[in-house]
Amino acid sequence: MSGAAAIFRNEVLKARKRRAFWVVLGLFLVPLVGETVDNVRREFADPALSFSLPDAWIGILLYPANAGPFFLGVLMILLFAPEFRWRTARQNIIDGLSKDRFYAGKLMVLGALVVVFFALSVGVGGGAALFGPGDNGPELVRRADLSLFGGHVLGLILFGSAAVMLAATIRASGPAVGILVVYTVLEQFGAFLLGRFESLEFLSDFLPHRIFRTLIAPSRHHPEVLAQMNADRAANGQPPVEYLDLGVLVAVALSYVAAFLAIAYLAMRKRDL
Amino acid sequence: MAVIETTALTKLYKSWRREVLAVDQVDLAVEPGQVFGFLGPNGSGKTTTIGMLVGIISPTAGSFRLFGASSPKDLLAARSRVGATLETPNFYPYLSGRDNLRIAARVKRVDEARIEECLELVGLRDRGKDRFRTYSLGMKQRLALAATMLNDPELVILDEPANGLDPQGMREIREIIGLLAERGRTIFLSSHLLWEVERTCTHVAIVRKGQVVRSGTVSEIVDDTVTALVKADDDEALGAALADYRDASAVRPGDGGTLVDLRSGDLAELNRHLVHRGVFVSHLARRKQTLEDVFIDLTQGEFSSMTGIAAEAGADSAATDDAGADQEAGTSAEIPS
Repeated sequence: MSGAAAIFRNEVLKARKRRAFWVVLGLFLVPLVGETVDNVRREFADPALSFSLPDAWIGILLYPANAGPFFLGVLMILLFAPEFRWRTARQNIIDGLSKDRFYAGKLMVLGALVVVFFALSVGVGGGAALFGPGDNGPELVRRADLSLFGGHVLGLILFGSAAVMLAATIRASGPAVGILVVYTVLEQFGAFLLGRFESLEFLSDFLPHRIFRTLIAPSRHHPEVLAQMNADRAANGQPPVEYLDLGVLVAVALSYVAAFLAIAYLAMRKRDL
Repeated sequence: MAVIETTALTKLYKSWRREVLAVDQVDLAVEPGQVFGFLGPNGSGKTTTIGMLVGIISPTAGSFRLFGASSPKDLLAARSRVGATLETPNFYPYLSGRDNLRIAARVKRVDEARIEECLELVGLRDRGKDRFRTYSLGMKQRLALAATMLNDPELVILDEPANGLDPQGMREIREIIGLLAERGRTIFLSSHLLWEVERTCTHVAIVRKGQVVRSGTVSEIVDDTVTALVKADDDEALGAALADYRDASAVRPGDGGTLVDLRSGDLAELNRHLVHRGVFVSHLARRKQTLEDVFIDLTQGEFSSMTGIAAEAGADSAATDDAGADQEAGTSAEIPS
């Protein structure tokens, strides 16, 4: 067995035997499945309420794209931070794993969780729509849907990498999850403060949680949704919504991911265990 | 080639409030096959030193070699020949003992068949499926030993392996260490239990405030002069009788009686001399300098936390060993000679 495979198998063993892992995954899945069942049930009751592809993708991803990254972040923290409290990170190094490999194992966990969450997000609702009573279109996934999928995946990675950073630097799961939650509130306050200064207001668009919100916004990926939304806003006398260019958005998101993972890596490398 | 070699190894902890020199230019050399005892009071830098050797603490200055390796890449390879456990056993509490060893086996890249052998060796095969959190402290220590031995290491580093164990547990750990030593493994053992170290180790280093204050073989460190503790009703007559006893190299008061250093170590001959001089003793016992005596001299009052352990060790010694009449009841760390 290669070193990477052994590390990954260990991480899988640690996760699948951890009750908290299944509890958090269950907390994410219950509303997802419930919503999907409700959509199918309503379509059976009223065929006019179409739950078919590709139009259903926006609705299908609404809950998992918003909640999934948070649950993924919590799971990532639960699978990483206790290694310091239990001193198992230390023991892994003593047993012969380098700090780099130990950290690489956690990045494998992040990758696997992103795949699992994305597969569940798309698979549960998409599967129900695909095999439900409605008539699906000839094109099951449009270009804009793919873009939305990409935004969802990047949102998962962004939250997950922030969780990796919090786990590696704080080294305690409770405070790390707390900061993950509190940060979103603090960022809104920060954005509010920036909005009070005209020259700094643009910066609020680049804050991490705002970037995440933009990545998963259907109106960012579907021009017709944006047009409808701005028409509604115009009717209410509100200014139109303008988003960052997609390339800039992705570049900023990836920069945050790189920065979070680099901070976590340095914390692993530099601090004694 | 030394298995462990440190040169001026130093660790300085800095915080905004203060600096703590945990390890201060430590020089050590542990040769193959030695059972090396690393002794010191709490906070003397033992665990920090071991932490640097096993790669979890970065040295501030100095260097070390494991099996001759010193570069990070070579050290990683050298550590595959090491089995180590630091302080408390560190395992995933929700996993079974067997699963915990599975994780260690994969890290060490050893065949998982070794897991059963090691569980058997430490007597945990029947409890292997139980969660680690349900284990007693003794079982946790034994599981740590099992994990240490998975890769059949050439060097075994054990930090306080008998911590918190009952006498039976201590005996089991001692037997396992003895077994490893018989197999020619090099053992680096940090312990508070001085009588245990004296019994188990071939070589010793004593650290105080991060510095090695004495090192060598146990016999080099412990004076092998036999001392007799003598008590008699008539102290004056006893003093007069001892004053002209040729086998006595030194006579001094101590331990509620009179201590007599004997050249020959023959207590029966001393007793005959005293009887011949009309002195009948109420107490005559062999006293030999112990590692604890040396340790206390060298660490001077820093071992207050250890006296309780020493007493526990003495009780264990009395309970488990056929100490014979020479062992004086109530003295905590006397080693039967």
